[in-house]
Amino acid sequence: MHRLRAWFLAPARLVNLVCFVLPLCIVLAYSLLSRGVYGGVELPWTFDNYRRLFDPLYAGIFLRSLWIAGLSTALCLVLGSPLAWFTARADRKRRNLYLNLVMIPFWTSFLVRTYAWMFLLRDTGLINTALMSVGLISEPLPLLYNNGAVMLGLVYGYLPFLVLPLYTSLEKIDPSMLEAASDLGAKPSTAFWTVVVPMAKPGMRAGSILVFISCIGTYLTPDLLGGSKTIMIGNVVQNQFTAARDWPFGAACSLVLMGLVMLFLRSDEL
Amino acid sequence: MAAILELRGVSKHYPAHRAVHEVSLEVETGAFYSILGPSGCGKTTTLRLIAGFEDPDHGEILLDGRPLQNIPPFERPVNTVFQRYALFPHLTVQGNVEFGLKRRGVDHRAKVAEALEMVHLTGKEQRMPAQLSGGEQQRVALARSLVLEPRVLLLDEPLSALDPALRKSVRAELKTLQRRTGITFVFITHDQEEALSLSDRIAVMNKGEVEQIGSPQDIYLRPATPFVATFLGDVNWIDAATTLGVRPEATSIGRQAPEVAAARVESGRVRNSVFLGHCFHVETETSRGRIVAEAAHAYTPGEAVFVWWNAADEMRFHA
Repeated sequence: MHRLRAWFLAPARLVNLVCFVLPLCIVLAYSLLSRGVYGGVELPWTFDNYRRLFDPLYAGIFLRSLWIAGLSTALCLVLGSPLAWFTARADRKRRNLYLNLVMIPFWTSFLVRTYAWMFLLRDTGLINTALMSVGLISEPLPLLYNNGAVMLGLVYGYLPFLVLPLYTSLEKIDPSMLEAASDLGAKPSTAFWTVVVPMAKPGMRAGSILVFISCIGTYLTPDLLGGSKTIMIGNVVQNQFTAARDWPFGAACSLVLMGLVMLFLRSDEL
Repeated sequence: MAAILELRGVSKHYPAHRAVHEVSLEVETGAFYSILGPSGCGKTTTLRLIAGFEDPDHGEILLDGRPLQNIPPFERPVNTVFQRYALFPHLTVQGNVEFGLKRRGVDHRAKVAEALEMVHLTGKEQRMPAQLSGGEQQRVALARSLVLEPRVLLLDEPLSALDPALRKSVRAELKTLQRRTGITFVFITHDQEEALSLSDRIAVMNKGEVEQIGSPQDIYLRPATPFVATFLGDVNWIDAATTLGVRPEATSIGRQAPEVAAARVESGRVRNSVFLGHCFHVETETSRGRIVAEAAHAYTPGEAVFVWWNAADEMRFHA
């Protein structure tokens, strides 16, 4: 029995070892080495890369990333909860239709969809052009290249990751739960807060984790929609490995990012 | 005694079927009132109409003489014990029982303790519903409703989810609880034995309509329709048109013709005997058709026998 289990687990263990544990060790080693002149890493061993993270510039970027990811997750919750609830309460046929509608954006590449937002938001984009042509504004609104644009992109991109697990939670709530609450004297709003929300918590939690983790590590969205003003950790990591040619610092940044994510997961368990 | 709950010509029609049609009944204060019928007869819809989960298309529901129309479930002084209990899985036993009291803003500690004691769940306050047995969950559901001291407690087949061994003891407890609290119970069931043993009054429903209302003895011994007669027990139909019947336990059997004066007698042959524990049911073939009689011992198939019954035990129906 135990031997069988070992055999069954072997492929997963192998994948985990080759694709996660070994690369992680390499990244850890890089983060403790010195920068090579043309990229790459050199001896000696050092903690300097981690020390640099306390530089206000990078600390600020970490804080901004946390803030943008946190707020985007909150926005997803606010926008996604009614949608998930509506879908879960619809009759069976409709439910599948709505779920498919939630999934449709996945049929197109995330990159292409983010570019589409640029076309909508830029100074000569659809929104500004339309508003100017009807005379509501005389100058284009600064819709692109700011925190707001990044959050819009993140909320847009990751909303389904919140809706789907939340839907699964909500769908499990038996209609008789709401009837029981009403029967015992709870107004619909009270029933919602005392019965629906607590019962939907596992879904909210799972959805929030998925969205938050996706958001905090992202580099594509801030790169395209945030321009040079809104930089997140993901951009720093990418930059260190490409233009800046500072692999050790990039490695340190990504390890700290991973640490933050794990901390977030643990704090949720407590 | 005055009627606490009254239904006047209540109907609820769905596109596909008439769930409830022209139902009128009066429930007396403090009564154990059962609504009995097969599945799909409209009894659960009737309960949902009283609770306020559905609105009637026609007719009126009055509680203490006041119409309940447009009063939402959360404002009706009526509580429900759901068929599958519908306990809140995220709340403890304590949390479930105090749920309603909290909504009223009532000081609840003592009341919850009292209600849990009444259903013998003291000491299990901090358990989650999933950690309880079916019987315990059912008692939490009862306590949760009783603690609110409703004018009427509605019970939707509360025993059907329990295993048969438990059902009888819970049945007795239910009756005791009802007597102790003095709360009017409206009990929905498809089990005639439950209805007969518990109720002060029974309304028998079939296809959305009330077939008969009466005391358990009334509906068992003097059923108003062939449906009621067959739903409450076995019937020997003496004629093909189901206008005359007699219950097997009122039917005697013997190898010789009886010497009782008032008896109706038929001769026939035994088809088979079924052992039921406390007696045998002997199935016979007579000129009147199949007649089942109750006997203390078995008869051999093919034996020539007489079956007889008293005219007083006959149930007559209009064709």
